[in-house]
Amino acid sequence: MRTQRLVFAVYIGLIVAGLFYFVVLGALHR
Amino acid sequence: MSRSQRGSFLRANGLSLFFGSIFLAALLGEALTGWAAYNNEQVADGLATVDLTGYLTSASFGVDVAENWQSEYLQFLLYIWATVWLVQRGSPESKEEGTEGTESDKAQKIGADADPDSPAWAKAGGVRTRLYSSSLVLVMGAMFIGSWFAQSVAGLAAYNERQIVQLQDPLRWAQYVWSAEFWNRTLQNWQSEFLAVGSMAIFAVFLRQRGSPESKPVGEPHEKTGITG
Repeated sequence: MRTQRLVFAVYIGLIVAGLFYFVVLGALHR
Repeated sequence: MSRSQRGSFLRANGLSLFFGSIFLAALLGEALTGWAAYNNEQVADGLATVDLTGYLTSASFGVDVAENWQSEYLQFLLYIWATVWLVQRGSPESKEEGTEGTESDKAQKIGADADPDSPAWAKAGGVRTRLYSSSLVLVMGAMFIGSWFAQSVAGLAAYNERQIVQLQDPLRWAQYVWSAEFWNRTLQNWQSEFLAVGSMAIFAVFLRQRGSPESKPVGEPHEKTGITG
């Protein structure tokens, strides 16, 4: 399950980073 | 990592790596084609074109990505939640009639009914087990709310940029989330997800894909529910 945990963490990290990026992007363009 | 270790890593994570890869490829395609389309509009409006970095940091790119993310997470969130409470006779995705609801602790292997190798929070009992029992819906729900919020923030900025070009008043966030533009973007994504999920629920009763766990075995009768092949 170690590699599965790694892939799980990469997915969560990507999505959270993406959402954070888009929110910051929107806020900076106001 | 040796060759055989690498091989087993790829094989053991085939689904997530395949979809992760085509996600990145599609996102790259969206970025490049979105950039070209954005610049076409800029030219038509008599405005300066932007470089790729300029487009990737534009609110327009942000809202286009986020609005699709939110609808996908909503789709899975609703499907996971609805399949707890609703059944579809004959569907491999559905439980049997009579088992609607969150089921007994024994059936769910939690608390005193947990197995020795059950996850720690399934055995723990109390608030941890309650939390872990809904962790998939909670995380999918957080992704949905987070993406929908990102859509609203980036969508507002993109909308206001256009308003200003057209010499119209910009909106505030609280106005934008009630606007026709925001709900049109939202609902055009939702309608397609709901249609696809509804289709899958009923198509899998009568249609088969040999070898797929999303399907019943090819020879399984139509009326059999909850059997994957």
